[in-house]
Amino acid sequence: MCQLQEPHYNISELLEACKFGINIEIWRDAKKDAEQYFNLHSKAEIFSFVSGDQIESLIFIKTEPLRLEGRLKDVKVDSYEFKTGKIIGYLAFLKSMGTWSIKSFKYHHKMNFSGLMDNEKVKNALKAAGISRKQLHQRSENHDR
Amino acid sequence: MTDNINGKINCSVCGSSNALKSCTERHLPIPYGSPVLVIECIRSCPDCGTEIDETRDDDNKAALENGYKESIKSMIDYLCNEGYSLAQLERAHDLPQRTISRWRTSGDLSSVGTALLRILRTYPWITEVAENHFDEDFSKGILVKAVADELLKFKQFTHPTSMGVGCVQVSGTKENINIVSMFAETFSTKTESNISQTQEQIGCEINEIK
Repeated sequence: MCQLQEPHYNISELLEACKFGINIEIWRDAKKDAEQYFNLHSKAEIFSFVSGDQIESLIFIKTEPLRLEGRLKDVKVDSYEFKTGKIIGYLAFLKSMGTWSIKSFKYHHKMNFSGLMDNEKVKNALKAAGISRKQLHQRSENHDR
Repeated sequence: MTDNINGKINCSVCGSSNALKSCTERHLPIPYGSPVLVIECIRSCPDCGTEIDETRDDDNKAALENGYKESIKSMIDYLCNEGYSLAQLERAHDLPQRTISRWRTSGDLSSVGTALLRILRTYPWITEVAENHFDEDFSKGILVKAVADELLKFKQFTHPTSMGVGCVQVSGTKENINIVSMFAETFSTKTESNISQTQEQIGCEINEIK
């Protein structure tokens, strides 16, 4: 029988560390992603975002051992998904040597962009308007003459 | 983080004392401004391979502030070049007189002001919507017209156009261009018609063309 995994860390301790900016650091790639995806440029902004009320519905995903350079370390990484507005985000963190560190902070792979900008949408709108491809081709040919 | 005598520091992930801190410069893009040169400091550990950000927020504060100020001027200049006067923008958006002029001179404005300017710079026709008291039909019509204008710019293109963030790509098609321009023509002349009437009319126009 499949057992539900429990988080290794108490996330409220991470949020507390973020709130006060003490004993907390962020990995280089996570900071870059925070800049690209969430428009957060400084560590203060990132930690405030994580600890503030901008993150909704945190859902625990899994606990995994930290893998570095292909080797597993004796440190656990907890990962969560969260929502902020229409965005589904992904947060992974760990605690080592008494210091919290945010390992990943980016869009979740579940995030679907196809609805935002998609040619299919235009095609479907044309179809819904009762305009066929044939009609458009004829219009196009007439226009070119 | 503790400094060792030989300049090496402790890694907070694996505990190794071989980590090194290095600082480099990189360009940070600013919306509608020139990229700003910022310092990025990284602590790299050769033993576990981790790279932790060690940049102090204060190091880049002044550079970022200057970058944002410069972008304010650039956005306002763009709108002026597009034919909008500062007085017109202020009037349309119910801003006190000389507000935008003051923003342009000092580059000093709240985050709300910056957000407004970025929206105006991205969609300049929002000002026309405001001038028309945010009338729903007008706002829909001008949106469709803006789409048509944008697509018509690419009428001759054969290559996909990259729009949006990251991996999202949209390729325009001639079909889309034609239909959107027809839709825009119809919409802009029929402000009181509803969507279904407009769609019927488009269908009729196509049949007439046939």
